[in-house]
This record gives sequence, structure tokens and C-alpha cells, in this order.
Amino acid sequence: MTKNKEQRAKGSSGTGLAEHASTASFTTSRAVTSHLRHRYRTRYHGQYQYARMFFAFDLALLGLATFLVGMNVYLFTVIPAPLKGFRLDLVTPSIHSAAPVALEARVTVSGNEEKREVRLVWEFPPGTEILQSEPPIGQGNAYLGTLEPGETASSRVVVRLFQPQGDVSFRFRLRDAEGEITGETDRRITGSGLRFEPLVSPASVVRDAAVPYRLRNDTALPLEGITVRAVRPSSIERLTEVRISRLEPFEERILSVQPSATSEIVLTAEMQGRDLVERRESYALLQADPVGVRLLLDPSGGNELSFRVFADRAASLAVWHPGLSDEGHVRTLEIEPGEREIRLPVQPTTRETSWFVVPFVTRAEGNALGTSAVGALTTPFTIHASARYFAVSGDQIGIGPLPPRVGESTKVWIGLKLAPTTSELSDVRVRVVLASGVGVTGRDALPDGESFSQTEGALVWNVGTVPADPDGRSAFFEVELTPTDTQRDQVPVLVESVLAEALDVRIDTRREATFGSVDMNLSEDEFGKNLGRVK
Amino acid sequence: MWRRRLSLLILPIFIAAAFPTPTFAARGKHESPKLINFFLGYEIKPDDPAKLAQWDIVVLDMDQTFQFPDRVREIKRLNPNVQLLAYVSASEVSEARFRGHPSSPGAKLASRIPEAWFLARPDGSRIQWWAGNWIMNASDRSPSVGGMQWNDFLGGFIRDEIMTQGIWDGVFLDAAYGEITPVAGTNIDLDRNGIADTASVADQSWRAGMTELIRKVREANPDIWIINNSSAAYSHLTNGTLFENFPRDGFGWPFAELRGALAKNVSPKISAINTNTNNQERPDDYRWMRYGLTSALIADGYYSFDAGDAGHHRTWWYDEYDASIGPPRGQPRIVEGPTTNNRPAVWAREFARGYAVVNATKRAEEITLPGEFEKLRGTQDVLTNNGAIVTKVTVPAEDGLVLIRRSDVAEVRGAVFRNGSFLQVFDLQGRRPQNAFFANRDDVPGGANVLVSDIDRDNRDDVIFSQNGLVTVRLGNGGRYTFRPFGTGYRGDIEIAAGQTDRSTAWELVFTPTAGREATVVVTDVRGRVLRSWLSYRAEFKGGATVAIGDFNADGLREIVTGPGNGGGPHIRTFKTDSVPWRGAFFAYDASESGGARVSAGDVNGDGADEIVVGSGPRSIPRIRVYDGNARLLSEFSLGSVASADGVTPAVADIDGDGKAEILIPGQPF
Repeated sequence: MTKNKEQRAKGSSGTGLAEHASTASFTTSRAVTSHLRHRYRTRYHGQYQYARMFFAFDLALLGLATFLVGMNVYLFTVIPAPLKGFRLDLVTPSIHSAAPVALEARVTVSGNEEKREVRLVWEFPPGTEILQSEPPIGQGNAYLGTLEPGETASSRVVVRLFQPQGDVSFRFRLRDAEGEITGETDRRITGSGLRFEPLVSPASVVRDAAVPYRLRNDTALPLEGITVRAVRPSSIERLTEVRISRLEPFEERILSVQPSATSEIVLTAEMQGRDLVERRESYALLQADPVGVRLLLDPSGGNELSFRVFADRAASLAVWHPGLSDEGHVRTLEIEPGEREIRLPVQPTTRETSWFVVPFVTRAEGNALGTSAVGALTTPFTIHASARYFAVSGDQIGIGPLPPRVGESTKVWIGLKLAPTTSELSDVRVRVVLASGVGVTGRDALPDGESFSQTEGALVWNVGTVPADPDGRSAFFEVELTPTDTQRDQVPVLVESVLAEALDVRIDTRREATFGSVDMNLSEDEFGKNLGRVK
Repeated sequence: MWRRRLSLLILPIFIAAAFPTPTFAARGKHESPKLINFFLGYEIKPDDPAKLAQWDIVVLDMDQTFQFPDRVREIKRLNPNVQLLAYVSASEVSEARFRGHPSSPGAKLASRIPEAWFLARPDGSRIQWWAGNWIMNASDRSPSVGGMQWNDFLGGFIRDEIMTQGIWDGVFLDAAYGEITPVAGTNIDLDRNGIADTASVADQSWRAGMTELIRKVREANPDIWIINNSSAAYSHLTNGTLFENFPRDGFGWPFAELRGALAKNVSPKISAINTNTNNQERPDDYRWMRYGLTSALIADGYYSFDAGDAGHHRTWWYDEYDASIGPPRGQPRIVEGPTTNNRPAVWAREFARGYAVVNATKRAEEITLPGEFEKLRGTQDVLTNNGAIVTKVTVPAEDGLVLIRRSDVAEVRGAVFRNGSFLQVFDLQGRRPQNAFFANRDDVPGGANVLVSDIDRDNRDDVIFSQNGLVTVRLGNGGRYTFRPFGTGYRGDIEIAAGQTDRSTAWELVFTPTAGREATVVVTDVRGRVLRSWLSYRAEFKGGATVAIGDFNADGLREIVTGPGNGGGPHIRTFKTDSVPWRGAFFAYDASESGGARVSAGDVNGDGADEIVVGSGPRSIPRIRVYDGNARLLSEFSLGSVASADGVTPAVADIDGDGKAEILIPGQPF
């Protein structure tokens, strides 16, 4: 106590403020400690075997709780300083929903300070697929590292957005060692990678006619889980909705939409629970056929389609065939009244099973559609053979004198090509009859599998089962010819004939294709042709 | 302070690592054609080292390490396998040596020669044959000075003043004449007693003295390469003898002497032919060049072609020099013409990857070859080297031909190809060094992806192929395993790579699905047990990937590189073999291209590190780009001008064995 008095005496000199502060603080402290002692005596002392330990533990617990509450209050009330000194530019090409799009976020340090540990968090619209990213997006952010003043770093991503057309927001969070900043920018989805449109836009439709619609994947990636809905009372393929599990890149399907009595067709195509395309067509419903055309479509396979037309009056025909080279695979024909057969060249096709002809007349208010006709697509089945001394690229593959010389061996390669098929074929065999004096050397190449075997004077290419095959099948083998004196000044024949046989599984019919002879003039060899006459 | 010193030490290492300069690890393999360059001018120009680094052996004057030390070292840096030989005359000293810088080896040599060691006439005068060059007395009758003769002195000098520089691999002993009288005449006084020695005594004494000189050079420098000029008499003491001006004085006897010298030489045998244009500047005398080259090839000697004994200072390079035909297979044989008395005939020899034929007669001869060979696709004499595949050739008089064995599927090792495909061959610059060929293995189903490599490291080829999602491993020891790395549900194509991914002896297999599912990299052992797997791209991407493995920084550890399949951008990613990303990823083509990219790996420039070869995806102009491990574009070339429906799938394999891998690209033969 004596010491306190001395201190008080020293503190009394000067302003006296210290004395008042000391008094206030010590008074409060004494009150608290007095209260605690009182609590100890009344609530702990004699109540527990280790009263002091319990009391100290409770005090510590109380202190910890107070500290945590204080810390939370502090963190809640302290607002981090907003991050400055960055500029973020989003570079986007035109965006189509469901199509891969390359996005680039450029982060530039606009201030004068180095930014460390810079990370960019992309916040994409829901359902977005991130296909690729550079730098990699790990744990939700792209690490850009340390950036110097003025330096720009890019985060590139390739994504697919599954959003309807219109504005879409891209949000960003940019972090560095100092803090975080958020930003948002809008871009417009201007189209869709999933296209859905009528082959011929209708202004009027005869009752009970079907309107063919095209559903097309315009992207380089497969689209999966597509649902196409027709709003009642319209129907699509006689149903209210059609599910398409997978649409390959650039594949298109034709769907028949039956119009309703409400003069409107409303269709939506959805992926991942979001409508990507909506079509709404208004039309007049006609009681009588406005076109007056009857159509008989032949099964189409190979390189041609054909159909017969019986027209009461002039009309237009929209022919959709996947093998047509026209825009959208649609050829529009103008026909005069009468009966005629129409043949059009087409490329062999693979996936589709039917083709369509839509008759219509064009009026002032638009197209009036008649009853469309559907034809079946069968598979083409052709075989082609040729001989070469030089490959297409100019590389020499044959060997020996060319023109051939009496008594000297000349080797050339024979190529067999089964044209692309559009449905499964089984038991496919190609029999090649070689000319007299021509032998196989044993060298061959079968890039599509299968095998060669030899039977009485013929070589057989055993192809087996061929599913619908967009590329066709090829096989190559080397033959050798040593001309005799009797062949001098002649062009030797290498292959007498080629016969291909198969069972067309879809129509359960045996198919045959033949190819004629191949001679030493190598007619398809740009570098070695017309040199076949023996010297 | 120590930190500053340390940083000064480390800085050059980082700078060197950041800016690697090319080397030619593929050069200097001492495989046919084996090349030696007598680059004996006074100057090494700044661009000469890069040219000289292409040779197997380079002979430079001993003073060049004093005149141009950095350029001499640059040759060795560019081609660590090159053998640098110092020019030292065994029996002459140039007057210029006496005027050289006192610290230069030549001046040191000159300053230590006492007058008694010069060859002299009976009147004591020195003798010159080549203008400006004094003939030394290499005979065993030479007077001794300080207990030494010239032939005692030279070996020690080479050891102490040349080999101690640490850059030279040996010496070229010029003017090691078999006899002295044809050079110096008969009026010579070997023992300086004032009386001319008889010719027979002079020549015998000279031969004995020169033999002793070379023996003592070898004794003082037991591990160096020694090649002597001017006589085959010492070929049993040296690694090689140079036959200069071949075949100006006829083919038969010099060719027989060359073969005899090579039979007697100390290993490694480096006897060589120097064919030249007789001091005329005619680098385009291709026939003469081939005549000498094919003679050297058939004898299995080294070859040099330049302007002549007054023009040994050329870096002429020929299409034939690039034809790596490997070691000889079998002995040389006469295929046409007389077989006795060393009369000119048509000689031929098979090599591991080629064939050489020389027609030493005076008329053209048609030769039937032992199989199918391919003429070179030359850029110089394109009529001769027209790329034709042949079984017979007509060789003009006094001419020769170098042919390469026709490539077939057996040469495609370490690279994945589609069985039955037609492979076109490209080099780094997009040139076509040889004809395309059908790559078809009869023991593998057509259309399967095939890789031939020694996976289990037992020095036997193993065959790995995949088809319809199933992988089959057929080991050279008879073991066979099949497995599905992507499960039974996957029936698509699988890309294969093979390489060392851990520290075990056996290699591992690396797979990716090429389409239709996530781009998962799966590493398995040969039995298909999965060791590691990871996604090389995001799980949402279902386009598969291609994969390759290589050592992109030449550190002895492999890295794995992937390119996405169709539908992805051309986004190349590299990983360590434990799946950790390695160096940055990059876009091999424009990021907006959506056909993916197809990767392969191999050392296409022969620098000892593998490169990443990237083919473009479908729907774009078919192109190849070659990147190094730092994603630096080394070269690119296109394969057409219209978009490709299928894209370009390169394979990389060294099919000609020259140490530089070729880029193999499937094409349509018909």
C-alpha cells in the first residue's frame, strides 16, 4: 500500500489525467475481480473437491468464448479494401448455344504495383460445359501467377453454353495476395448449335399432312439428350415429344410434325433442361389439297434417287435427301402438270433411313403444303478395281520396267474399293479373277481388316460383315506380270473380272456388284497411264 | 558477397537453359557413308563450324586451336561425336611456322628444330619439295641433337603441345613418305657427312626412320587416332592411311592398297580416300564425286571430296552424304568384269540399309541388284538420284551409285501406325526423302493400331496392337496378354505409346481412347495392370485423345504428351509420367479449330531430344507442326490446300537409321 501511495503522489504532479484514468480502470477491475471472488466463494468453494481447478477452467472457457465473439464481430465489421489496379477484358467470338466457343479473359495490371498470386475465377452460367482451359482451371480458378505492371495474362477456355438465345452473363472473381474483386459482363448468344427448322416454311397446310422439320447438330461435338416437344394439339411423329439420345457432329434428322387444328405449330428443342430452340409457325389449315400432286418414291440406294410425279397443275417439289449436294440437302424442283419420272444424282449416305418430297405451291401469303411422301434409303453396293504403278501422291509403288518388257517382271498394285454402305451387309466376298500369266506376289495391305484367300485362279477378299460404313472398304494387293513374246505390242490384261456379293441385312436380299477388266494401261494412274504396251 | 558470386555462377546456366542451341547428336555415328574433311586452309570462317560439324572426322591445322579456338570448340559442341585431328607433317616444316606467334604450336615446333634435323644436300643446304616447306630428316641416320633425332622428337611434341589442349582426338601425319628419293631426289646426305647416300640406303634408312617416328608417336600417345598420308607402308602402325587424289592415277592398285591398308590398320580403322577436282572449283562434278565415294563405301573407308591438294578447304555437301546406309553387310564383290590382277571392274557391296556399286570400267554396265532398292531423291543430280525403286541399275563408266533399301513395315519401330495403311515419309522440313510404302503386318489384323517396340527390354521386338477397344500384347519371348484398358464398354480405337515411366527395367504402355469418351490417360504394364490413370482434359470433353511419350528435354526422363480428339481445340498438354503437368500446355494451331490435334513424338532433328509432332484435326487444312519441349515451333508444313475430312495422324520413327526420325503420314494410295 505504501508503494501505491508513492505512485499516487508521483502521478499527482502534471495534468492529473493519469490519476483519473487509473482510478477509473482500477475501480472497474476491482469490481470485476471482487465479483469473481464472490462467485468463487458462493458457487465453487466447498462445492467441488477441486474447486479452484473448476473455477479456472470455467474462466478460461468464458475467456475463449469472449475472444471468438470479438473476433467474429471484428471480421464482420472489417471490410477488405477493394482490389485495384486490374483491367479485365473478355474476348469472345459470336456465341452459339451448345457449340464449342473459345473465350479469353485478358487480365492486365493497370496500376504501378506488381500483383502476386493472381487467380481468376470464372463463374459461368449454370449447365456450362468446360471443354478445355489454359491455364488449367483447378479448384475453380485459373492461376495466372505474378504479374508486373502493364503485363497482361490470359485465361483461355473452350466451353459449351446451354442457354437460350439472348444475353448471358459471365461473372469473374479476380484474386491476388491482397484481396479480391468481382466483375460481370454480358454477351449475346446469337444462335444455336442445334438447328430446328421446317424444310419448307408453311403458310397453309392441308389437314392431316405432315410437315417435315429438320433437326441438325451444327457443331463438331455430339449433342446428347435432346428432347423435341410439340405443344398440343400438334404432334411430332404422332407423339407429344421425341427424345433423341445422341446427334453426331453435323448429323441431321428429319422429324414429321403433324399440325393441329389451332393454326399454330409450337415446337421446342431442349437440352440439359433448357430450351435451346423454339419454333412457332402459324399457318392456315386447308380442307383440300392445294397442290394436287401424287408422288411414288422408289427406294433410294447408290448414286441416284428416283420418283414418279402425277401433277394436276404446276407445283414445286422440295426434295430432301441426305445425299444431295444442295444447300441443306434440299433440291427444289418446278414441275409442270402431267406424269413424269425424276432422277437426281446423289452421294451415297450412311445414317439416314428415309428421304422426303414435299409438294407445295407458292402463293402471295406464302407456301401451301400438300401431302409429303417418304421414301426408303437402301444401301449402295458397288465394287471398283484399278491398278497403279504410282500412288496418287506420285510415290512409286510398282517396280520393274514400264512399259513392260518381254521376259522382265513388272509389278503393280491392284486396289479394290467397296463403296460406302448405308446399312449392314453380311457375308461380303469379293472375287477377283486374274488374267492368265498374272500372279500375286504375296504383298498386300488390308487397312480395314479382313483377309485374302486364293481359289482356282481367283483371289477372294473375305470382307465378312460390314455395318453401315461411311468410308467404304479398301484392300490392296500386288501382282506380277512377265510378258511373253506373244504379248509384244499388246496391252496385257491384269484382272479379268471382279464380282462382289453380299446379303443386305435390312431387306434380306442378296446383292451383287461387278466390275470389268483392268489392264496394264493403268487408266487411273496419273503418272503411269497409257504405258502398258509391251516392248 | 557470396550470394552475388553464386548468382553469377548460376546465371549463365539459366541463360544456357533458356536459349538452347541446336546440336547434331545424330552426326558422327561413323556409319556409312563415313566422311572425313581435310579442312586445311588458314581460316575457319564464322559459318564453317556448323558445316564442319556434319562430318565424322575433321582435320584442321594444329594452329587452329590458337587462331580460332572458339570455332574449333564450336564444331565439337555442335557434334560431340566428331573426331578432330590435328594436322602435323611427319617430314616437313613450313617456313610460315617460323614466323608464327611464339605461343602457337607451329611456332613452338619450329623453334625447337635444330639445323641438324633438316634434310640436307651434301653441301649442307636444306631441301624443299612443296614450295615453302623444308623437308625434315626422318631417317634413322639423322644426326642426334641432345640425344634425339627428329623421329624421336615429334611424338613427345604431339603429346605435350597438341594433345594436352584437350580438344584433339588424334593427328593427321602428312608427308609420311614410303621412300624419300622420289620426293627429294638422290643427292641427299642423311648423316650430314658431306657425302651423298645411295638411293637404296637413303630409302631404306628413311623407311626405318619413319616407321620409328610413327611408332614413337603412338608410344607417346597410345589412345589417339593416327592417320598418315602418302604411303600405305605404315598402315599397320596407324589407324588409317589417306589415299589422296584417288582415282586420278587409276582405280585398280590404289583400291587394292586401300583395302589392304584397312585390313592392317589399328582399330578403329579410318583409312580414307580423298577424291578431288584437281585444284579446279568444280563442286558439281557429281559423277567424279560418286566414283570416289562408292569406292570408299565398298572398301568401308572414309571419304573426302574437295578441290584438291591445293584446295583442301571445302565444305561441299552432297545428297549421297545424307543417305545413311548403315554398316556393311558381307564383303565387297566384283559383280561385273575381270576378277584378277586388280583390273578395273564393277564392284558392289550390301549395307544394312542400302547398296553401293562402283563401275571402274570404261563402259556402262547393267547390274542386277540383290532385291528392291530405291535411288535417292536428290536435289543435285536429279537424273541419277531420281527416287526410282529398282531391281536393276545401269551404272555409267567410272561412276557409282548409292541406293537405299526399300522401306517396309519392318522399319517402323517405336511408332504407332494403322496396319495396312499407306505411309508417306517426310522429314522435318516437309521434304519427301523416299517413296511411300504400305505398312502391313500379316501377323496383326488389318486396321488395328500397331506398335512394335522392345517393351520388356529383352532385345526382342514386342508387338502391341489395339482394335475395338481390346489391346493385345505379343512379347518376343512368346508371352501374350489381352486386356481392355477402358473397360468392356469401350469398343473404339485406342492410341498406344510405350516408354519408361518409372525406374523399372521394363517399359510401360500408355493408352488413350481416340474418340467417344473422356480423354483418360492409362498407364499399364505389359500385362495390362493399371499403374496410373488421369484425365488429360476435363471430364466433360468426350472426344478422346491421342498420346505420345518422349524425352523432350533430353534429361533421360520421359514425358507424356496428349492432343484432344475431334471436337476439342488443338490443346496440347504435357505431363510427367506420374501425371503431374509438365511445362505449360499450348495450342498447336488456332485455338478456334475444333478438330482436336494428333500428337506423336520422336527426335526429328537429331538433337538428342524428342520433339512433339502435331497433326491437324478434321475440317482444317491438313498440316504438320513440330514443336520442341518448350512449345517452340520448329517447323511446319501443309499436306494439301483443301480441308481434310479425317485430319492428319502422324507417326514418328527413324526408318533409315540416321539418328533423325522421319514423320510418317498415312495417305491414300489409290
